[in-house]
Amino acid sequence: MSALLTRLGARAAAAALPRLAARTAVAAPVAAQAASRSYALETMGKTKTKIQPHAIAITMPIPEKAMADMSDEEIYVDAEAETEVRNFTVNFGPQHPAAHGVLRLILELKGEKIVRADPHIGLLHRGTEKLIEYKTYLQALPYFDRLDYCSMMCNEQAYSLAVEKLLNIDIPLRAKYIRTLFAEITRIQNHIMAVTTHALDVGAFTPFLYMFEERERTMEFYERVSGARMHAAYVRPGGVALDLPVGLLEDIHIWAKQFGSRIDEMEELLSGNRIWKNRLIGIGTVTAEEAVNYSFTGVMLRGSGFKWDLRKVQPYDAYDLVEFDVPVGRNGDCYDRYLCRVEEMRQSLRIIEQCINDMPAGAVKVDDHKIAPPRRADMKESMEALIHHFKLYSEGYSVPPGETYTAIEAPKGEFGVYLVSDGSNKPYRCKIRAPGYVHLAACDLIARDHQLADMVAIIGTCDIVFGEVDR
Amino acid sequence: MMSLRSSLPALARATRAAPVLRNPAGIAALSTSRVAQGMAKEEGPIPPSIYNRFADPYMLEAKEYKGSALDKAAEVLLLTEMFRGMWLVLENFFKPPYTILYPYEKAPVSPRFRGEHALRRYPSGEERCIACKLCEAVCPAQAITIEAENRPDGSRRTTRYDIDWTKCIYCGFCSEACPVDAIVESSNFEYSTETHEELLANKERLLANGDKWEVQLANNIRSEHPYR
Amino acid sequence: MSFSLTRLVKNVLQVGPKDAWHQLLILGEVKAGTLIGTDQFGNRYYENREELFARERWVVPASKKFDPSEIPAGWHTWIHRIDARAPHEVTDLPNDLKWMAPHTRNASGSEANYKPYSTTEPKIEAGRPRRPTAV
Repeated sequence: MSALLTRLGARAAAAALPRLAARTAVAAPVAAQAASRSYALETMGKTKTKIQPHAIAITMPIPEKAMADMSDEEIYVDAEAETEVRNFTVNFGPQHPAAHGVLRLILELKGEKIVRADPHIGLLHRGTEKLIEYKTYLQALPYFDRLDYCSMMCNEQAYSLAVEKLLNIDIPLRAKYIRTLFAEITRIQNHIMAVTTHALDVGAFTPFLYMFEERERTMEFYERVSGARMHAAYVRPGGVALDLPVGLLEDIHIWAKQFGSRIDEMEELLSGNRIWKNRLIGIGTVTAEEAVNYSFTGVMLRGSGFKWDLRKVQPYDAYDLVEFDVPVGRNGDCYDRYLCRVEEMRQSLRIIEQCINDMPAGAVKVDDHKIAPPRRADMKESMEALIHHFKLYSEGYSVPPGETYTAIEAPKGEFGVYLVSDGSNKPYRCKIRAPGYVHLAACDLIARDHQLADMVAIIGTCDIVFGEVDR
Repeated sequence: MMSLRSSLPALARATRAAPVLRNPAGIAALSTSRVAQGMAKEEGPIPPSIYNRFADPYMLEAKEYKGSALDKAAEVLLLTEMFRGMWLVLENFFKPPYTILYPYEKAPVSPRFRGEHALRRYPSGEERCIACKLCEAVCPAQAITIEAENRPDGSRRTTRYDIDWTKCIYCGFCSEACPVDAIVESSNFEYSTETHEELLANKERLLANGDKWEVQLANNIRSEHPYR
Repeated sequence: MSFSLTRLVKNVLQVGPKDAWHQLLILGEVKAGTLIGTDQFGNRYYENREELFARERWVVPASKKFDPSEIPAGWHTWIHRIDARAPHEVTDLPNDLKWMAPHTRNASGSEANYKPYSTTEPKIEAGRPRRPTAV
């Protein structure tokens, strides 16, 4: 209570001072504006205008010294050419906090209206795809955590499914459920990040602070199951790395039970809020046709009313065993996409609850020790297991020649891995299809004819993470 | 089926737009926050979503609808939703904070945590590492360098065991691969340094880590052994 | 509210003015709980199950120069809830083998910091530039 009183007192004192200062400072800019306007009226009437150095910031100013050496023809230019207003180009990012990492956007502005948005990427390029060609199938796994670093386990899941497809193996049911459970925890984690930083960009700080408490909890679950809060390396080809620790499912259940009301809390702050609605409704509208033409996936596609979810249309892991709905928007604007994300979080809770209830007992890895390492106790006693262990961690396993494109419904959209194997223990080629890359490519389509301030709302709604865009 | 579907928006309005109906007691009339709802502990299982937006995209618009024109006007003029939001923030202001006093209070860490590396010894004091170089082979970042020699007593031991912590990605493959539990990742994460070179650990540094942290490392491995 | 006046007064009365002042100087808050133990540096470890989750175990350092890295392995295990038992309660694991080293704090930034060196003989013989002989 005492802290509250002191805080209030300090705030009142701080607020009073600048107001006084501002009142005295108003006069100056008004006078300057009036002066420049009278100059403009004066020069508009003439057919020939003398170039005023620094008069127009957009054209290159000619220094006074150079003008002294110029002839009259050079100095007096055509009035039409002179009064023509060229578009203003601004650099949005890479240091801009709303650029979500290292996005550099070249925006061509007409007044405050965007006439062209040109994203420049590559500032976070690490050559992941090339590096993977020089790693064994197991070693390549940690690289996937670092792609979309807001939804780590989903990336691993896509890669693991691709490798499993090439190996033509099926994993135990428990592993499928664990993957599904953690994919949905990841989805919630990602959507918390997406929605609240989106809100932060358009000016709402509070939901960000509240929801990140919950995100912290999900990272705790990551840590308990894999040992790392973000770069889990948990979902492996052939299952998952380790079984769930005792008590984790119960804790996830307790967390999931209360998380719904935290979403309510966030919605209370955002969904009805007039500022939030004014900033989002009708902004960044994408029709279903455009969305398909630009190969949008995930919420960006569903927000436009297109019913497409890989979890439904080609279920992987345990998604055909759980019941959930897929929210679809109608208007294809930022607000619909926000609502879709919020509803997806609720649906994820449903899936989590079902996974916890239906979690079967059993193995979490395939029992083929050519692919998954044997248990440690076996390795200590059995020579065969020891040889398998050594082969797996040194040479890795060879994958039959072939190619696959395996995609999953990552929180951001369709995350696909195109894997070509030449029969050796290293991938011949690994192409990663990142949803953020495609959504960013449509940046110009979405942002054109919007105000400059809407750009942050559009970047926020695209949910771009540069780990996966630049790879 | 059709009649059910058409009644869904009305149902949704009753449950979503008016939290008053859900918990009429006390402060909850104005809030949906977790404390007001009597904390989640009392809540039952999560109710299944009653509306399927996959089938009925009308739902996204249900949120827009807020009753008669008079209600709408009152809401716009009286800033209802703003004050509801502010009330929620005020409530949170009086709630205990989630933050902890970090260096004095610490967050829970699991035995699986992957932090600073350490080389362990047998209870006799003999170092465990037998220089099989499996960790060097599996390391995706190639952060480990090992050289080995036979000792005068005939046993094979490393002479060089370097880990470049600036290359390491802390994936934990080395400790997974180690057949004798020699290289482990401890739960210590407070080893930040002021210079780059202090992160280029050599064998003696790693063994010293092991000697320092053995109480914890043995504990971690024992509590993890049912899973490995 | 974690910092409420009643809580402060209650805790000050419980721990006594001297310790309360010490805690206010270092923690910026006065907490009361049961003393579980003390480590080699004199840091005291407390527990109070009535506190919020993740705040129920804490350390009251001996001095203001406290660094989190000086929490010894056993207490580190306890304060991070890796083990529910305090180090002196863990009796089934050896903790006094003669090769075990006493805990040291992270020495980075001080004179005692770690300096990397090679643990093997260099395999190459470094060339030594010959001194130019006077002509």
